[in-house]
Formats: sequence, structure tokens, C-alpha cells
Amino acid sequence: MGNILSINNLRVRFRTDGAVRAFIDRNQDPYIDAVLDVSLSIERGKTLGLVGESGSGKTTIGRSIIRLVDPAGGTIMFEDEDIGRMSSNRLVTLRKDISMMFQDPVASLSPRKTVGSLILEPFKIHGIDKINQNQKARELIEMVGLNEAFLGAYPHQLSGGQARRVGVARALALNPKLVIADEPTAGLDVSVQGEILNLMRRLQVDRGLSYLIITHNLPVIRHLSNHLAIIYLGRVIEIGSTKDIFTNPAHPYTLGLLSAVPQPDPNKRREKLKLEGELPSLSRRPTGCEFHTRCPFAVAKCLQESPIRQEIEPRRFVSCHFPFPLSQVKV
Amino acid sequence: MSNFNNDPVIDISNLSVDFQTQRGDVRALRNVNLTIPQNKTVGIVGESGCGKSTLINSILRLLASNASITSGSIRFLDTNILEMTDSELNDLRGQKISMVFQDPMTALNPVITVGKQMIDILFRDSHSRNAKREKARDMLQMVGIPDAEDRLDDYPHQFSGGMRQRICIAMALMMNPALLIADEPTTALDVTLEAQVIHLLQELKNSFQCSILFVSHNLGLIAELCDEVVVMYAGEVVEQGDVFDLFHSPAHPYTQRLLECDPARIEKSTDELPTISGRVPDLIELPPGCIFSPRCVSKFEPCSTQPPPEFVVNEHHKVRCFLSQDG
Amino acid sequence: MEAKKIFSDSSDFRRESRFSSLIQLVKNPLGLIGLIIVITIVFSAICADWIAPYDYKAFDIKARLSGPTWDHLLGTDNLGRDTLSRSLYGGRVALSVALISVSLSLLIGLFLGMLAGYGPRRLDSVLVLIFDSIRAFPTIMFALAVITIVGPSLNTVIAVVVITTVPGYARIARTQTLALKHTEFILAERSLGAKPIRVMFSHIVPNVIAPLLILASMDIPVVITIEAGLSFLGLGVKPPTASWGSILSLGYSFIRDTPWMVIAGGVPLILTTLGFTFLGEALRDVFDPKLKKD
Repeated sequence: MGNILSINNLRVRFRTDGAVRAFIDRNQDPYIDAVLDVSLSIERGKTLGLVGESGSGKTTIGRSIIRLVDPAGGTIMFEDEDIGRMSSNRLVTLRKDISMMFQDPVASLSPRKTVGSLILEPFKIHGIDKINQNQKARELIEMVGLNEAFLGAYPHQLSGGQARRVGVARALALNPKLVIADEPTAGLDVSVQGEILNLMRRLQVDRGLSYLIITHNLPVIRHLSNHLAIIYLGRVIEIGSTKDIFTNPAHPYTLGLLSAVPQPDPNKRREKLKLEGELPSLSRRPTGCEFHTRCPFAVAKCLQESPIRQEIEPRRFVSCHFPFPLSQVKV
Repeated sequence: MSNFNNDPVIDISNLSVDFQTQRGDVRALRNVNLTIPQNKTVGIVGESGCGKSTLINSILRLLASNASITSGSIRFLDTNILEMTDSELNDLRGQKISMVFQDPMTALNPVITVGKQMIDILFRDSHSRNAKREKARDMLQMVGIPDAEDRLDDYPHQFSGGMRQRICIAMALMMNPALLIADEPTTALDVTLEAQVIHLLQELKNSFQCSILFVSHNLGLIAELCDEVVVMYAGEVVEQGDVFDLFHSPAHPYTQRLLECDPARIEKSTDELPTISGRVPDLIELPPGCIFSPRCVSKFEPCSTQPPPEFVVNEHHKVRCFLSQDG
Repeated sequence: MEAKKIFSDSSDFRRESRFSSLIQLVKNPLGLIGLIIVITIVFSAICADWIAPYDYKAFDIKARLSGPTWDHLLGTDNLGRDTLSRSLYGGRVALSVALISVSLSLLIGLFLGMLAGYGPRRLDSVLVLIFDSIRAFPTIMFALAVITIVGPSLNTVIAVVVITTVPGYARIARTQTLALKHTEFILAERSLGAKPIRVMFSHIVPNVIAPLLILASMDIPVVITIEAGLSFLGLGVKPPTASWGSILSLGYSFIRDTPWMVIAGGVPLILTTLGFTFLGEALRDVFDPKLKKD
């Protein structure tokens, strides 16, 4: 099948202090690494879920793929070209092939523009004005199940679900190959979540789209993704097929995440693994394996040495000194 | 604080609340009956627009100025909250009934130290300042804040989100209330922090002997924490009962569909997630009959014409649906 | 693929009346008064050529310094020029100076402020330094200094007003731009490939303009007063051009002969200032709740 996107050793840094402040504080390195070392790939026509908590760096990864932020190291290969090294002209055309859906559906729509104008924005930006704009707008709005009248509405007049659908229409306007969706179900009631997800799935089948879905919602991603990458403090700590990871997590953090998801069944109340503490600060990264501060299985080696990525079964990678053996069914 | 007799902490009877708006009167709550027994956790589950916020605001009489309570009573132990004077209400709020809100970032005053905010809650106490400070420190320790003594002098922004929510819980429990109302307290937190807060609430409930009213849209949290569950839809209580009954034998079609739609409950990974078709009705012009009937697949003759009364399924399990008419 | 099969209802969105803002404005009594005054003054200024009974320069020495008569409804000045006509033309001067300077300030301030907010940090620091320096300077002294060097004229007045008021607009535009820079919709536009020029003019300007318009409407009466003041001192319009300020100035010299010049200069000045102030405040009230809603 082939990969549509391959990320290798990605690193993204943000400045914390300006030059003057850094000088005063004798801060040699006024940066934090939001993304430290991330390698992952997305198969053509499939969906990769990027799972992590706030501060894990998952949103930054999404933004670096479309170069809303610049990588400080590593490569992002899209069809044999490194996105990190693309010129600004090439980037403009890249954004026809990769598009993004944002977390807050209403806030990601320019408030003084109508829905029709927003959907056609990609065409205007890329100078594709030969097409019949009205017809295109109608096609797109109907593709997401809203009727024509919506083309004249303003973002603040839409409900969350309707605004999300407009976001989908806009993201798919130029027929991209890869769509990055940031928390596609945030703010949606459970009874209507399925609508957006089913739409995304149908479009994927119809158009051969690949998706990168950034989320912290584990029950949803289980149904939506083929593969999963778990991010902690800017590193991928486990990656593999969704099914395998949910049935047999290898990394203690993955198990902790899965255990923390509340089950809608009062008979399943017992917790399997409880994670104490909170995500450490990015400016004071723990030594060795960065998860050791919260890991109930940490031993001396975990404090001293960084774990190396191991392939514990074909296409399943874990960064842990003592990953759980796969034969054990735990979940 | 516990009572010697078995009065429920809260007994809401036939409560209806309307909001006056330009377009007309919004019938936000209609004939709500709800009881919170002592030392129990009751969960209210519902989606947007179901009225759960209106309900908890009614308990503490914090409704907006265009709201009017058109019928019913809310009894706290043996008094009707709706008939209380302002000074009685002041006595009630923060002391006998306290609340934890959704967003820990905005619930705390950013320019006053945490210690001072906690000591301020004890304003009714005549103890010395030192004694109050000790109490505040003890509370912080109870909710799992390390170095509590030093942290009393820190400002809210110096704590992380998870810790801020713990502080809010500590503040709510300072006066040993009979009822703690928690309004989506973990929605703004990541899943591992959420699990910690829920665990904390479970522990504290036992040490403090209070009842908890837990409002959430997350069925998993409700199943984990609550003894009894109340399901709300478009301003009505459509089903309520013991948590095991509700999750294993839900009687109302809405509850059944809600459970079906929850992705965490769907065992096999699926391509097409279920949804509930249609949308929540307009609360200004209510459809006749059962409020859920326009979206219900099991509806039959009386559903579209008559609003169903509450039927009893078993001792604690009640449902507002004609399908349960014969018990 | 039929999306209709997935979504059971493509229900309507919340519709709003297009004229809701205008209606709200008119409901406010002071706003209504302000609007009426402003419309009247603007109308009379535009149509001065047709309404004014006389040319503002025309002399009639025999009729000098008279009180109101049927020929001259507000009397005449020391050179026999019709006071009413001069007052009408004075309105034209006041309004054109005000509208031209305020429009220029708004446009220049909007552009520079947006540049400071959206552009590179270094540019921002330089621009802010310039704005702050201008604001630190006392306006009147600056005006007097410039006029003394360059000589009095309306264009000088406009230039001085524009230079001293641009920083006010620029600061607001900059603050709003900074706030918008990191919002999701700007990020979304950038992710679609929009270049900075497009982002600024198509997406930032519409969301930044409202507070600037409110400032402009509050600034108009201020500029009118500045022009009147400068003309009163002889540093504004050059005779024989009529300005309310110059009419007032002449009127004070001849007040024992006829009080009507002072009235013809002062009353329109006060009314216009009040009218624009009421309108500006009403506009702000209309826009403020809307801004909160957004």
C-alpha cells in the first residue's frame, strides 16, 4: 500500500525567553522541546490515531506537518519530499494536498465571512477561480449533509455540529490526500458524535483519504483508527495497530491510559492500573525514561537510561526497558 | 454532617422552571421529581439542553433574572429552599450545600493566595486565624497536595489544572456540607487526572459523610461513581433509578439509545457508529405527548398525544414512558 | 455518497434580522437625537451652495453689522457678509476637516497597527516606539509649532491632526491584531495556504474595524473643536473662508454691535459636537453587546 506520510525523529522547539531575558537569567538554552523525537507513518487510505494528554505535543506534531510551526530536526516525508525543507512556494501547493480540521469548530471559521465564502476560501487562495463557484459551493455543502440555505449563514449562527460539518467541507474542498483532524468530536454530544465520524469514514472510502486523528478520546479512536501512536512528553512511546494496542498494551503508560477510561458499566469498576502524579514540566524533563516519575514499575535502570525503541512484533514499537509481554492478555 | 433521622438531603418535588425570552417562554424544566438520600451519590446524566444546569442552579437559587419557578418545591432536610429568606440562603450556600464547577481555571480568584481564599470560607467560624490556617492545610493534605503548608501561600496560577480542581474540592468540603454538587468537575481534565479526581471524590465521600450530586454527560463516570442515576432529556427526568438497574435494564428508549451510542460500550470495533436521529425539540413550542416521541423508534398510540406520567418499575426505578405502563 | 442518509436532519440555523443594529441605534433616544443632528448638519453642509442665500464672500458694506432682517436672517458681519450663509459654509469646513482627518487617521492607523501586530517583532518594537513618542508630545504645542513654521492653512491643520491621532488608532488596531493572531480561524486560514497579506486584509481587518469606527465617531467632534479653536486663533482657515471658529473670533470683536455672529458661530459648533458625541456613544452601545456575543 505504501505510506503517504513518514515522520522520522521529528523535533520541534519553542522559545521560552527572549534574548535579553535569557541573558539576564543566564539561560543558555531558552527553549523547550514540545516534540523531542517522534517517528511514525501513515498508510495510504488508512487512519492513524495520535493519542496523548494535554502537553504531550500531539497538536504540535499536527501543526508541523502543515508547517504552521517549523521543525528543528528530523524529516517529514510526504511523497518523497521533506516538508521541513520545502520552500514557501511549494508549501502553498502542499496545502492543497494536506488540510486540517480544527478543534473548536466555530472558532476556526472567520467570524465575518459567510459559510459559502469560507468553503470557497481554498479555491480563492490557490487562484482556482475558473470553476463555477456557486455550483462548487453547493456541491460541498451538500456533501456534508447541510442544505443550500446554510451558504448564507455566519459562523455564530451555527450549532457546534453544523460548524464541524462546514469545517469538513472546507477541508475537503480541494480534494486533499491527507486530512489532519484535531479532536473531531470535542464538544459533541454522544448521540450525535457518530454523525461526524460516519461522514468522515464514508468520505475516506469514497475518496481514498488518509487521516491523522489527534485526540485524547480513547473510546472514539478505537473505532476510528487502524493504527495508533501514543505520545508522552513529545515522544512516541508505543505505536502499532489499534486492535493490538487495545487488547495488549505493552507500555505501562498505555495501560494506565486505558485503565483510566471510565467504563459505562457499574460492574466494571475496579481499576487495573492507577497513574499518580501529573505530566512533568517540559522545561524540567525527567532523566532516563521520562515516564519513570509516574511509572509503578520503575526501577533504577529507568531513572538512568533512556529506553531504545524496540520492535516487539512486526510493526509494533515500544520505548520501554520492560514492556509487558505480549502473550499476557490484560485488558 | 449527618442527620439522625432518614430525611433525604434533597427532595425535589414537581419542579418546573421557565425562562422569559424575546421569542417566548422557554420551558426549561418540567415536573422534575428527584431525591438525594443521605450519604449517597446521585448522578444526573444528560446531553446539551437537557436542563441539568438549570436544575442545579435552582437548588442553590442561582437562576438568572429572567427565570421563574412556576411550580414545585425543593426541600433541604426539612425546609423548602424556595421559601428561604436571603439570610437563610447565605447560611445554606457554601456551608450546608457547596459546589464544585467545571473549570478550575476560572473558579479561583487569581490575585488572592489559595490559603487566604480557603480561610475566607471559614468566615463564619470564630476560631483564631492560626486555627483556620491549620484547617486549610489539613484540607489540602486530604486532597493530595504535597507540601501543603508552603503551598497555602501560592497563587492559583502556580498550580496545575488537576491540582486546582483538587483545591476547589477542598474548598467545597471545608465547611462539612451535607451535599456537594459537582457540575462536570472533570470535563476540563485529561483522562488520567480525571481518574484521580474521581477516586478522590470516592474517598472523601466516605470520610466526610456527605451526599454528592454529580452532573455529567459521561456515562462512564456516572457508572463509576454513582449509587443512583437520573436521566434527563429536554427538561424532563425521563428515567431514574439504582445504577445497576439503569445500566443493565434501562427502561426508557432514550436511555437505551444513549447507552447504545456510547463508543466505550460498543464491544466490537465498528465502521458505523450509532446515533440518535432527529434533534432536541424546541422548548418554547413543545410537541404534544411524550417529549422524546418524535425521535423514538418504539413509539405507539398514546405517545404522540399524551405526556406519560412516571411509572414505577421497582422500588427505586421510575420511568416516564408508556412502554412501562404495566410494570 | 448521499450525506442525507447519514444526517437525519439538516435543520435550520439561527437567523437574524439584517437591520437589527440600525433598529437598536434608533431605539436609544440620545442616539436618535444625535443621528438627526448629524444628518441635518451633513445635509446642510453638502447643500450649502443651494441653501445659502448669499455667497459667503459677498460684501454689502451698507448693510454691515446689522441684526436679523428679512434680507439677512442672522444679520451681517463687519464687512456686510451674510452671517447665515457663512455659518452654513462654516459647517462644510468643519465637516470636511473632520471627516478627511479622521478617515486618513483611521486608514493609516489601521494599516500600521496591523503591521505592528502581525509582522515581525522588530518592526513591532520600532512602530510602538514611534507611536509612543508622538503621543508623548503635547498636541497643541506641536500644532502651534508646525503652523508657525509652515504657515496657517486647512491642509496644515489636517496634517497635524492626522499625525497626532494616528497612534490612537494604531494602538487599538495593534492590540486587536495581536489578540486575533493566535485564534483558530487565523490558524485555519494559514493552514489553507493563505499568505500574510490575505490574512491581514481579508480576515483581520473586518474583525478589527469595529472599535476603530467607534473611536472615529468619538474623534469627529474632537477634531471639529480643534479646527474651530485653531481658526479662532487665526491659525486655521485663511480669510475670507468661513469657519465657525473664525466667525466666533470676529463675532467677539464686534459683540457690542451684534451678538448674532457669536451665536451663528457658537451654536452650530455646540450642536454638531453634541450630535456626533451622542451618535458615537449610541454606536458604541450597539456594537459592544455584539462584540461580547462574538
